Amino acid sequence: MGFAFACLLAAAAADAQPLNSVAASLGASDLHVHDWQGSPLVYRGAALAFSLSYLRRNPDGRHVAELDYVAGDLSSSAVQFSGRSVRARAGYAYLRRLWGTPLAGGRLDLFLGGAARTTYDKTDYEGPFPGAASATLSSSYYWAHSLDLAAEAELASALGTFRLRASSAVVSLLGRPDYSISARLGDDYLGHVDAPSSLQAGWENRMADVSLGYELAVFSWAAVGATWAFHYAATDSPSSVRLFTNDLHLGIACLF
Amino acid sequence: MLALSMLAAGCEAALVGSDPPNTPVSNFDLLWTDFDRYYALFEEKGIDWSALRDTYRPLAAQAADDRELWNVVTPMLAQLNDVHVLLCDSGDSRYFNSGPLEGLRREGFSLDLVKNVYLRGAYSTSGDFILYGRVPDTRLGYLYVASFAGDKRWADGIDDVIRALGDRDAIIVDIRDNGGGSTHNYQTIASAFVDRPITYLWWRARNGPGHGDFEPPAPLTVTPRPLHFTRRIALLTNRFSASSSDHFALIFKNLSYSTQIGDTTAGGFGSVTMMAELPNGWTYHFSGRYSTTPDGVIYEGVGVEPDLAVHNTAADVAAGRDPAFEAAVACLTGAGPCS
Repeated sequence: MGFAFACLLAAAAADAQPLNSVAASLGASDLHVHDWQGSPLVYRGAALAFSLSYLRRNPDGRHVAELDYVAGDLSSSAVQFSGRSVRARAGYAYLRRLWGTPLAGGRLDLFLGGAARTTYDKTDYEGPFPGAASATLSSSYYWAHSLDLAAEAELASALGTFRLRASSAVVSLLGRPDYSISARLGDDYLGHVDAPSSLQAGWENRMADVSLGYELAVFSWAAVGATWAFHYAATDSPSSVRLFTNDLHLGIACLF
Repeated sequence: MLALSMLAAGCEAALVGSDPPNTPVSNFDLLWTDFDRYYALFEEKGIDWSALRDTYRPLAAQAADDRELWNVVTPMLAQLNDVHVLLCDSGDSRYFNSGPLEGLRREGFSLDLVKNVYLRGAYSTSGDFILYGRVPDTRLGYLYVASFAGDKRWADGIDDVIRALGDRDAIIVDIRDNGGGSTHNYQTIASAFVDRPITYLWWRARNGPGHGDFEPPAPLTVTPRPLHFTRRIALLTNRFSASSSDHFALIFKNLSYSTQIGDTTAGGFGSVTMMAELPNGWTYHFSGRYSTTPDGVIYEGVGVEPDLAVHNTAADVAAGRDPAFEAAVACLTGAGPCS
């Protein structure tokens, strides 16, 4: 109710043609991580995922801000071992319109631009150990601030709006555990996370995102939609980590 | 979209790789490599780790199952003679400790005996690990610290102990069967007994693939807390005073007013920094650091020797006696020797 009311107020104050969209979505995330810094095993699991986004349409381009969060339990092929992962992403992209054409009663537009993003993933690995103070055997993380090349294709018609977006990191600052947690003195080394500081080229710290979204305006001020989003990251510092998330979201958007 | 999602999920092996094979020889290789990359004490202990692989890997390759692999891996790890090297097979409830404690029985110490016979049931507790009281018919206090594990709050209970025993002429500090815990906790307890800042060890932390790759040494220093006791102390130790208890005993070696009585400590001067898992469900941990005293002495694998050696036995406990406790009382009251 609050969302709808705020949305109505914003829409009433806006132009006839909505330029802005704020969307909230909820969905399922399929998490996979293979981080040799934490375990030789692949860990996987499903979890609830939340997402917020803002889209500003200008005649020559668009601004996109996004925030995603997912936290869930993981399992491995060894029944003794489990894990827990927290992933969060935040980013801003500017996409400039390159080309557009009427198509199938609607309009197809292509955009190209850049994005600044931060991607955080921390996984705790748990298992049985006699006398251990906690079930956590080890912990690892992947944290990157990246500058991405981004592209988008949007097909808008009376049937709704389809949007395909892809991006890939060109350069990034990477945060990973030390070679060994031994190097960190004190008792809190297990959960410690250092801010990204290691400059990495796109082929060293490899990140890619693809999403496919569908949005249907049900009122002049509101739309509903569904999104499939895929995120992949891989690097070999200080040891190999490969992870991906595969999300399906349903959401509502306020247009104003 | 659903199809895309299922397609991506189905591509897991292509995207993140697969589990290593869960075979005896593969698990051997994983464990051996982990130690090779992260274990800190190869050079200090004079261990040729590659030679051990050459010896034991062919045996692992012949192992039919995890039970046979266990019988290959544990003799290899035993070469390290390190109390911080522990292998656990929770499925079969098997545990292996590479250090001198493996095979030893905890039989020469009974806290119940101390409580009932020597404190006559009059004692207090603080947190999960502190027990203290006055030794009847003497001017002595008694403090037992069962462990240095757990969160950071309980150790502050040492202030209650000092308030309660601060008027005593001497305190018996007992860390027998204390298997260690966190640096913060043992330093907190020790800070109630030191009279000055003491740098007792230097850490060396492994930080690279070479067995000699280490961070620059970092000091471990304990400083007196506001409420502290610096009259006579007798520190009771035994072979199961390990890890943080080794460190704790070394701090007390720096105190002119402290006498260590009992048995040599376990000699675990590394630090458990690596805990890991294998595809067969085994877990293990080991030291990623080692330490030396400021003048370069290495107590790892040696332990801190007592000033007055008193070896309790199971027969002593069965007879209702604690010779080490009695020696501490005699030392502190002048009725017996302190060395």
